[in-house]
Amino acid sequence: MRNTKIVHQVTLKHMKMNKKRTVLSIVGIALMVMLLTCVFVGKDTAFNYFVDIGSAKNGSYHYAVYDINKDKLNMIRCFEEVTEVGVTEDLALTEFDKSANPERPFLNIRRYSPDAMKWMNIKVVEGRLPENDQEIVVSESAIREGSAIGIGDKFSASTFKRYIRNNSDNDGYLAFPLVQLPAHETVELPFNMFYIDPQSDDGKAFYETHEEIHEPTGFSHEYTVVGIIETPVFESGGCAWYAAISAVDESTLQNETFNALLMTDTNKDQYTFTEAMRNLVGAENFDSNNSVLIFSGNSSENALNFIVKAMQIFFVVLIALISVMLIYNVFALSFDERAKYLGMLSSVGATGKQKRSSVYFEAFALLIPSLPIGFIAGLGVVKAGANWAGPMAQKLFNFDGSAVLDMDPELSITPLAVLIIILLSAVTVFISALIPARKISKVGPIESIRGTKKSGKTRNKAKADPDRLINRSVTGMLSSRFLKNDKSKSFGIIRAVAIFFLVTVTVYFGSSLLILMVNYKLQDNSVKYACSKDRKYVVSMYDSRYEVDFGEIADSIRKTEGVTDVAVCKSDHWAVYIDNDSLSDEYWDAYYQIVSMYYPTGQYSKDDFLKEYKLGYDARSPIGIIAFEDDVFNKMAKETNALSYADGELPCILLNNTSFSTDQYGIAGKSPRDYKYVEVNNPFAPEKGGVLPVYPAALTRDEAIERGYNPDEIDFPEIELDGPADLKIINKVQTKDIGGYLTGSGDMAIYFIIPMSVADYIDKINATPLSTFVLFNCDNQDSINNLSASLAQLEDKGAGVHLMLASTGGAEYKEIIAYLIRIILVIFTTIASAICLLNVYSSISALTVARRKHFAILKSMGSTFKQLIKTEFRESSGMLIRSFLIAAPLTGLICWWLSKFMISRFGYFTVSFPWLEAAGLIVFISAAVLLMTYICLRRENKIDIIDEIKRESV
Amino acid sequence: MELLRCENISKVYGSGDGKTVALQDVSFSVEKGEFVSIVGASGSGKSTLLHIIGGVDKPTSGKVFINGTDIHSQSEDKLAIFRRRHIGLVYQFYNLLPELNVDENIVLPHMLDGRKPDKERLDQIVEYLGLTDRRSHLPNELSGGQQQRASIGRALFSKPELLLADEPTGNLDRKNSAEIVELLKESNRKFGQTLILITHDENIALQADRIIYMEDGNITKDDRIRVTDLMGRE
Repeated sequence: MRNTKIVHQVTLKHMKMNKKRTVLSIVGIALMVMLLTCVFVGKDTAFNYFVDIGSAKNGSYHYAVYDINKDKLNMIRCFEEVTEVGVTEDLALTEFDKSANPERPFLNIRRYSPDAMKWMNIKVVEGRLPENDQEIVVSESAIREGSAIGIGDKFSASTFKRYIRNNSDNDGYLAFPLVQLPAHETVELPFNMFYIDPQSDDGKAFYETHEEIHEPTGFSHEYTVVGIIETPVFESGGCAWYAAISAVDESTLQNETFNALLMTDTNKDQYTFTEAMRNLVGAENFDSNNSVLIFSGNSSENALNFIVKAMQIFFVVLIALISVMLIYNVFALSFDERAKYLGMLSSVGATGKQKRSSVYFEAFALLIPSLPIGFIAGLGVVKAGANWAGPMAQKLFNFDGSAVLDMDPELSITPLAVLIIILLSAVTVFISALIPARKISKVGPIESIRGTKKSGKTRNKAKADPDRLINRSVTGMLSSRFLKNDKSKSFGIIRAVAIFFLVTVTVYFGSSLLILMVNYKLQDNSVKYACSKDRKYVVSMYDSRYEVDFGEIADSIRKTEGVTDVAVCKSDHWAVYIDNDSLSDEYWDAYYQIVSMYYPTGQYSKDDFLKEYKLGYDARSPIGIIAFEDDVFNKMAKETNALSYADGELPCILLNNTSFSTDQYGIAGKSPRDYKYVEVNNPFAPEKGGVLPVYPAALTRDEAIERGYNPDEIDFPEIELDGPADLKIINKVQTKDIGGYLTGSGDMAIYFIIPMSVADYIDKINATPLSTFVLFNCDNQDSINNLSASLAQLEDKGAGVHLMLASTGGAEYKEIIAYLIRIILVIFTTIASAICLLNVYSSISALTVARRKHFAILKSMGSTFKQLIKTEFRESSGMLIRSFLIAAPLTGLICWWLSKFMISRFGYFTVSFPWLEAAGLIVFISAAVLLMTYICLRRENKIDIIDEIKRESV
Repeated sequence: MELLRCENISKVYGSGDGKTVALQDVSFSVEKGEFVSIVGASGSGKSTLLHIIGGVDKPTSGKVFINGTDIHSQSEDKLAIFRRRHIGLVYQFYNLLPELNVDENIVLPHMLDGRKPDKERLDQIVEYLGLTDRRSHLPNELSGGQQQRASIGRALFSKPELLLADEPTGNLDRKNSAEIVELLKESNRKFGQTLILITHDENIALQADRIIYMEDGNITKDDRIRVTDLMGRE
């Protein structure tokens, strides 16, 4: 014991004497601890924060079940996954005569059990929560808007459902949310429908032809207001009511059917549970609160669950790997120095075990200060990151503006996370010290002291060849000898550079795969408006009962003040039909891969599939059309080297890529356990120059009669064809080839592109014209307002015209995930690269320090600094080449495996190796290595050569 | 003809209480072709003086002229070039580059000067040093004596005018020491190179044309009589 103690004391002394190396080692370990802290504390902090935001927005429950009765509730309780159940009941609306807002004259009464109240984040502003069904709390928005209600007030409620009757002869509708109002019909209004004040100008006009009807539900009750609550998230500013919540328990439920909120054990398989629940209550009556579940990796989105979990594993493995490499390198680089003092200890009787224990002691002596430093630094990084990303995340969650959240992220430090960080750090440091300790214990005292035994690398005998010597430059000779005969030092750099390249490219590639997958998973499933790329506004015009002249509207837009960059295109998703034979085997294979996911293995053969899908349904498939103005089409054709076409021919360019995924496909409302995405890069069978026969979507008069339709009730096309219209395929292009014209590639969507002149012809052979889109920019807000108003008037008359921003679509939780994944991956790629770069720097620094005497000798022999630089640059170049030769095949292999794994997990999609990025990285690393070499050498050059010359040996 | 002239060389390490004076106003000159021994106790400043003459250390004050050139007034790179062309250095601990074999170590200063080594001269030197069968060996595969021979070969190869040897036999046994001194003497005689040799060994010192005695950073005795005696004998 005492023997070991003295060895440890010497080790500590040695560490103190070699402050620079000790500090570098502490920095390396602290960085690792910091990263591990970022992963574990950061993940907990971020996910808890997102769960908090998600909870604040949607409630903290896991699942909601609607319209169930008590029998079903009891059955739900029997699921082992269900841990807690709360009940809620919607009692509909009641008149609220104390309202000061004429557009919000109702109260929406809901009843929650205490658990449900908690899970729905009902928060009291004043007073208290209701404790029985006689008590109620009212949303503070009512008070804010001047309602004459307060705590202690009593009121009676008689609930009803809202209907609108359209007494006019014309069909109408209400927008946001959209409600169709057919002539002379009564329609029930959704719960969040706004109310039109009868005293307002709009109201007076509206109620001339419409009538709001309230149908009593038969529920009447007296309530006492016991509290004012924060506006709950389900109450939006535009709705006709204020929220009012009373208490309920299962014995006091008013209705036969009610809703339930469930909490589950998220460690149990959620897919099996959700499938069973869907079967029990019906898919339409079951909802997952994904904004909470997603962050525990338990959402109904298996692909996203996988990504969340895969990322955690990915990061931990990555950090551990690069940390081991960094710390190992630090130990390995100081091998000679360490071997020398351990050799001295050995000469006075230290055993191999004591020498090993010295290395382990040093490793853990380094770990002890590094742990708190790294942990605190990690907490700082997490806190700074949370403060930076928090407001962004809130913005993302507030996408629908339904609630304004103002929550500060708080660090979430669990004992488990701390334990994992300590254990992982200790294991990493132990592994890093393992090999150097084993090697050092085998070195004898004389070898150590004389330095004749290097770290496991034998020296090559430099063959004397005077002839060769004569023709060599001195820098070439020195660099090649250093490279060959000082392998232990140069290998440290080679290893560090190889790891840098491997880690960075692998992380980048892995991140790209994950991002690609997330993007596929979350992609907008429609082809974006053509030419929308640089245009802010779009007026969409589709066929409706109220006919308008699309051309006239387009012209008026062109003439509007401030309008520029006008582009007109036509598009429809299912515009015409093509023979199924016109679709390639690749298309049908991909289609089958997705359909077969819905059947147990082997239950649905490819033949059965082809019989049903390819040969069935008239053996034709619908196809979308995108039409550009003729000059734009011709420009695109020219840019993509399309074939020319003659007057009278009907040219088309096939959009030669599509995809299938389980997200966009469903059989009987089911979804398969695993997500699958299959990319199709050549869905069409005919080749460029061939013919694509297309069939109108409209029936001809004869077909209509043949199928038993009344010809008088059907719109027939202007030109009735007997057979298909033959389009000449002048090119087949991928979406990416024409990215300047359109973006996006919809699941299952196949399209061809035609000029407007051919679109006019298609309109004539179809009963309904293609939808027209006018895209433009406008810097005059008044013009936009006027245009919006005039189009709204047309829209009110029933015309299918609508002005909106060209870039539409709101974010949802999946997009938040995608966004976060992108940020996290970028940050981690950067940090991983930075650590690797530090590793490279420490290796180069160690090499130049170890070469200090070499440089002194060379200088005393008359070497200039320029010659030293040249020598080291040549040596570095040699090391770089070796590094890349080692790293490239390994990187390729890992990337290949990663892509295979992702494809096997998610389906087929094109994965391209980042050649350009890898080449860029090679250039960057090379430049960085040379720069670091220069910096280190300059530093060494400042040291007096005489001090080194006086040292006993090299 | 004067080759080397040292004017009031002083070298002070540290400052204040920790100040150590290694050399104090040392002045002397050496003629071309002279063989000078510098002797003195440890810490007398002889190695410091040699390093300053060799341009690998700088004096705190004073000047060193070699062939009339004030070597320390030159830039570092110019001094390096001057060193490789005019000075050959032999160290007690050889200071060979461990990654280079004997041949490569010998031709190093010559190659640093951008000159192609003369194969015949290399063969001649290697043979002269008795290292013919050790040419491809790395320094750690050589004995101390062999390493010092290689080190002398390196100093001789470029035919420098001034050969500086800092206790070249300090690390060697008597037999090897005698051989090394003989080699140095022979190069002094054969090639007319000026040799300044530091040694503790009175017997080696006595073989020189002139002995400079040093103590506490000062030249206490410059024994030229022996030179006259030798000339008289010749």
